[in-house]
Amino acid sequence: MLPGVSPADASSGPGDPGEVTRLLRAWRAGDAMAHEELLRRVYDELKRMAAAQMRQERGGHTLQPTALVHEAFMRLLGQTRVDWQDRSHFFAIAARTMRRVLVDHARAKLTDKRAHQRVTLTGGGEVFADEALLPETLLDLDRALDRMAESFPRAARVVELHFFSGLEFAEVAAALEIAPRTVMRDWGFARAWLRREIGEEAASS
Amino acid sequence: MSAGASARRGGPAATITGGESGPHTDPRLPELFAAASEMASAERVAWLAELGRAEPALAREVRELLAASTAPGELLDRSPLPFGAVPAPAAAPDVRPAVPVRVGPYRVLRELGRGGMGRVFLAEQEGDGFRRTVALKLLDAAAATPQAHRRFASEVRILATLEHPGIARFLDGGRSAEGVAFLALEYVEGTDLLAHAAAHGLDVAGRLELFLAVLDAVAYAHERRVVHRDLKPSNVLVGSDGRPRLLDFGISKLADADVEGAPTRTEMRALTPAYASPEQMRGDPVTTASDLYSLGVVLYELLTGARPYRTASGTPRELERAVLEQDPEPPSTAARKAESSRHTTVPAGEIDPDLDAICLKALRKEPAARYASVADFGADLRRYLAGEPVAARRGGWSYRLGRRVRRSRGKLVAAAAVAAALAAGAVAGPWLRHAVAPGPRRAEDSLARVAAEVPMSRASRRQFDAAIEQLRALDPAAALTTLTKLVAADPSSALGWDLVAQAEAALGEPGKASAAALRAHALAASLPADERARLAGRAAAAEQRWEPAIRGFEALLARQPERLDVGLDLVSTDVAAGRTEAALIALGRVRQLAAAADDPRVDLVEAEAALQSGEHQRAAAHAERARRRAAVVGGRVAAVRARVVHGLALRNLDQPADAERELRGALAEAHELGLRRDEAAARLALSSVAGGITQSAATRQEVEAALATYRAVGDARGEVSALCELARQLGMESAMEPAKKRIDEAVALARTSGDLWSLGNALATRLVIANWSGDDDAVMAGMPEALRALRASGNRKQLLTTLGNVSIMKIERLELAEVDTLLDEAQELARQVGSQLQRASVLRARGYLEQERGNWDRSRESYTAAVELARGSGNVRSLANYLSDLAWLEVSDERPAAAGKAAEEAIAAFRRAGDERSAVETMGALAWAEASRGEVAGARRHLAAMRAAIGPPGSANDESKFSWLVAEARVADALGDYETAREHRRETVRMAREWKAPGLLINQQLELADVLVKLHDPGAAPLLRAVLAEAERRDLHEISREARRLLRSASAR
Repeated sequence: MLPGVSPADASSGPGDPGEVTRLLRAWRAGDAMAHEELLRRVYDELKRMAAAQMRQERGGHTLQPTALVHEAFMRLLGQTRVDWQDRSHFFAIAARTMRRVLVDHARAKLTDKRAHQRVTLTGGGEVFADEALLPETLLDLDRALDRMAESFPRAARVVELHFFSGLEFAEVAAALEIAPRTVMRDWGFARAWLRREIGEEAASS
Repeated sequence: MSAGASARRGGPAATITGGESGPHTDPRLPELFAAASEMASAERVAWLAELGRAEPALAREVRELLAASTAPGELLDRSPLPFGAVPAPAAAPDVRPAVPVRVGPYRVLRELGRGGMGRVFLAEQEGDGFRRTVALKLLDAAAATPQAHRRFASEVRILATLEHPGIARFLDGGRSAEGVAFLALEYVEGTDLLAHAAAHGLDVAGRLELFLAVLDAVAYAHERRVVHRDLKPSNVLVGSDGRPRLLDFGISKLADADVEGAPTRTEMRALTPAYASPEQMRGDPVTTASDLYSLGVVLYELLTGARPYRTASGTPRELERAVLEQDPEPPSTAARKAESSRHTTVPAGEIDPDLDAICLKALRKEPAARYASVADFGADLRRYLAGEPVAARRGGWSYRLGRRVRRSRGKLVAAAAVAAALAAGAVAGPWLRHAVAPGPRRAEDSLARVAAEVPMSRASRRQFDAAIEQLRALDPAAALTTLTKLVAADPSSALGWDLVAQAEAALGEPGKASAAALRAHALAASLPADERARLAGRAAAAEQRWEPAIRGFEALLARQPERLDVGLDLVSTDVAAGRTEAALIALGRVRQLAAAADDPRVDLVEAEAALQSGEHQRAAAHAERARRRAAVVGGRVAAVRARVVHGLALRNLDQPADAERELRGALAEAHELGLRRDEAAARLALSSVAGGITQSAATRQEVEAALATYRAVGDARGEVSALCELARQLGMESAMEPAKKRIDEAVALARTSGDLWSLGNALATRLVIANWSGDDDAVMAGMPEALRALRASGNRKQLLTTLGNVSIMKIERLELAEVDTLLDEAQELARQVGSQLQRASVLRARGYLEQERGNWDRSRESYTAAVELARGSGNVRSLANYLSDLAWLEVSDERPAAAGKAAEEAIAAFRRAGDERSAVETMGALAWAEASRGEVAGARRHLAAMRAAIGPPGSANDESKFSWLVAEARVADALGDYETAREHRRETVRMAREWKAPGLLINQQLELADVLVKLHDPGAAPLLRAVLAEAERRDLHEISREARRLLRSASAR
C-alpha cells in the first residue's frame, strides 16, 4: 500500500461507483496511485465476496473466482453499460488481482497443511476443486511468470489476463491495446516457455 | 555466440540485452517461435535447419519450445479455476468471443457454424507450394473442460480412422501452439441434405439414391465400430458434385469403447431430440441400431417434409414422450397432410406401402425390431428401387404364414448324463492310493512309515508290505488277495482294512470299499492322531458325508502339506461331491508336490475333474497321459479307467468314432479283468455315443445292465447317471411314464447322496423329460433349482445344454424377456467349454429367438452359422435339425427356392441319421416350396408321405399330424382351396390349444383368421380381435400389426 492512502479509505468498500470510474480514468491518465488504489479495492472486494459466498454455500460448486472478478466489476462500477476502455482496464487490473488472490490462496493452502491454520480467503480451501491446479504448481507458475516478465513483459501480461482471468484473446487485446494476432502469438510462446520452465524446475528439484 | 553452445543460461548473448540474457531470454524468441509454429512441418524442418546453421543455440531453443508446446500435459490449458476457463460475462453484450486469426498452420477466414462444444470456421492452409481451404473446428475456450477436451480428442481419433467418400475427409487434428484444440476437415461447399433435395426438385428415386449414399457412409463407419449418434439432415452436406458427405462425429464413439457410466447430461443436451432414438431419449446404451433409427427419421423427413412425430406444443418433454410412446403415422399419410401445407417434397401418391413399411421398420421403438444393420436397411431400399419385394413388408406379412410350426417337443437336447459317471469313485476316494510307480520311496508314502511303527505280527507285516508293493505296482487284484489273508489272520488291523478299502476302490467296488473304510475307522483308536483323522475322513466320504470328509482332509493337509495321498483324497472327495471348482483348486495345490509329477493318479483325477467342468480337451489330454503312464508300469486297471475317461472326453468333443473305439477297447479289457464298474461305465458311455432318437431295445438293456452293476457295487453316482440315461432313452421312445419314474428315482437318489453334480444332472434331465411329456409348466417350475445346482457344481457342460433348453422353452412360450440374458450366459459358456456343436446349438437358439421376433435376416444368419458348425463337427443329426430350422425360416420368409433346398438337404441328413420321422416332418417345408413353385404333383406326393407317417391318435406322433395338417393347409392356401385350408387350420388351432402352446396357438389362430377373411367368414373379426388383444398383451408387434391389417381388410369386405 502506498503512503498517502488512509486506512479509512482502505476500509471504505465499494460504496461509490463513481469513485471507481474516476480512479480508472485517473489511472489511464497516468496516475500510479489510482492504480494501486484500484488494486486494493478490487482485491478487498474479491476477498469479501468470496468469504461471504463460502459462508453461505459451503461447497465449492457455485463459487467461481473468475466469475467473481466479473461480479466485482459490476459491483464496483455499479452499472452494466460501461465504457469499453474502462472495462478493459478494469479487467487488466482484475487479472493481476486474481493472480494475487489465487497465489495467496495456494500459499495459504500449503501453510495450512503445515500449520493447520485457516487464514485464507475461503477459510477452507474448497473454492478450488480437485481439478484446479495444485497449489505447488500454481506457485511455480507464479515464480516462472515473474522471471518471464523480466524478459518478455508483454507475454507475461497476456498470461495474466488470459490464463488467470479467463479473458478471451480479443478482450486481452483490447486491455493491452495490441492486435489480437499478437496476443495469440504471445500466448503460444508464453505457454511453451512456461511449460518448459516449470517442467525443468520440477525435473531439477 | 559459439557454435554448439548448449548452456541455456549464462552463455554469451546472441545479440543483445546484457549479461543475464542467453538464448533462453532472447527477445527474438516470441517472433521466431510463432513463425515456426505456424509452418507446415516440412517447411519447419528446413527453416530450423537453416536457423541452426546461423545460430545453433537459438534454433535449439526454438525446438525445445516447440517440443514443450506439444508435449502431453494440461499445464496452462486448463484454467487454474475449478470449472475450466470462464466464458465472457453474459452481462457484457458488447464483448463477443473473438474469432482467432490463426491456429497452427491455418489462417481463419470466417465462421461457418457452431455446435455444442465449438465453432467451425472456414480456414486456409498455406504450405510449401500449396494452399488449401479447410473446415476448421475449434473447441470453444468456454467449453474447454477436461471432459470436453477428451471428447474432442476422441472425435479426432475416430475421424482419423475413417476414410470414405461419404464422410468429410479428415486432414489434421490436435492442439495448436496456443493450446487450442482443433480439427481440420475437408471443406465441403454445399447445402444440407433436405435443402439439396428441395433445391434440385428430386423425385422419390433421386431422394432414395441420395439417401443410400448416406447409408453407405454410415454402414462403413459401423463396420469400424463407430457409432455417429447425431445423424440428422444438417450433418449431411451435399457437395456441388451431388455427393453427400457425413459431418460432425462430435459425439460419436466406438461401439465397444467403455461406457463411462450413463450418457452425461451434456451428451443428452448435445443430441438432437427430433432425431434421437427412444433408447437415446431414455439414456440407455446407444448402439448402431440408434443410428439406424435416426436415419429412419431422416428418410421420413426427406420423403414427406415432416418429422415422424407431431406434438401439440412441441416442448421437449412432449417430443420425448412421443418418441417413446407414439407410433409414427405412415409416411404416405404424413406426405398427404404436408401437401396441403406446401412443403416442397414428393407427391404423396408416390410413397407406396412398401416404402411406408421400410421407413416404419427403421423407426421401430425396439432396436431389435429394426433392420439388423444399416447395410440391411440399404439392401431393402435397393430391392425397392429394383421393384423387388421388400423384406420390411414381407416380414410383417408372412410372420403368420411362416412362423416355425414344429413344436419343440422332442427337440430339447438331453445331454447324456453319464459324462463323469466314473468320477473318482463316489465312495472311497482315489482308487489307487499309494499305487505309484515303483522307485525310491516317496515322502508321501507315509503309510508304510506309519505302519512300521504299528505293532503287527511278523506274518502280517510281511503281507502288509507285499500289499503296499502290489498296490504301488498298480495291481490291486493281487493286493486284495494278499490283504484278504492279512485281515483274516488279524481282523483288528485298522491299516489292513484301510488297504483293503483302497484295493476295493481300485477294483471299482465302492460298496465293499466303503465297508472296509468304515471298519478301518472303527479300529483306528490305537493309531497316531493324524492317521486316525485320515481314516475318519475316508469313513465320512464312504458314508457320503462330504462336508466333514473335506474339512478333515483339509485340516490334515494343512499339517502335512507333503501328503500326496491326502491331497488326492481331498481332490477326489471334492469331485465326488460335485464341487468341481473346489476340486480344481485343490488339484492345483497337489500338482505342486514333487511326488505328483509323474503320478498317473493325479492325471486321472484331473481328467475326471476336467470332464465334470466341461473342459474336454484338458480331460482328454490328462486321461491319455494317465493311460500311458499306467501302461509303462503295467497298471492295467488304471489304464482301463483312463481309457473310459478318454472315451467320454472324445465323445464330448464330437469325435464319436474315436470315442467308440476307445470305449470298446476299455470295455473288452474291463471285462477281461473282471472290473465290473468300469465295464458298466464303458457300456453306459457307449450307449450315449451311439445315442440318438432311434435307440434300440438292446441299447436300453445295456443301460439296465450298467444300472444293475452300479447298484451291486454300491456306486451312487453311477446309479444316478444310469437312471438319467435310462429315462432319456425311455423318453426318446415315448414311454413317458417309465421315464418319469426313473428320473424321479434319480433325483431322489442324488439328493440323498448329497452329490451336487449328480443332482444337477438329474434335475436337468428331469426338465427334458417333463418337456417331452408336454408338461412345460413343470419345466418352468423346475428350472431355477436345476440351474442353481448346475451352477453350484461347476457342471458347465450340462448347464450350457440346460440354458439352451430353457431358452428354447421360453421362446416357445413367448416369454422372450429373459431369453437374451440366458443365451448370453450360454454363449459365454460355449466359448469357454463348448464343443463346436454346442456353440452351434446356442446359435440355433438365437436364430429361433430372432425368428420369433420376426427378424428374418438375423435369424437366417444364426441358423446358417449353426448349420456350418454342425457340418464341421460331422454330427449328422444336428446338421439335419439346423437345416430343417433353416428350411422353415425360409418358408416364413417366403423364399421357396431356399426353403426347398434346405428342406431337401435336411431330409437327406435326417435319413442318414436314421430319423425317418423328422425327415417326413420336414417334407412339409418341401411341399410348400413345391406348391409355391407350381409343382403341385411333388407337393401332393410329399403330403401323402406325411399323411402315411401319422400314427394312431394320442400317440407321440401327434406332432407329425400337426406338421402334416399345417403343410396341407399351406399348400391348399397356395392353390386357392381356402375351404380345405380352413378345415385344417381349425384342427391345428385345436391341437395347439390342447398342447397349451401359446406361441403356436396365436400363430395358428392368425392363420385361421387369414383364411376366414379370404372366405368372407363372419368369424374372422371376433377371432382377430382376440388375437390382437393377446398379441398386444405379449408385446408381439408383428402379430399385432398383421392382425390389424387383417381386421382392416375384413371390415373392408
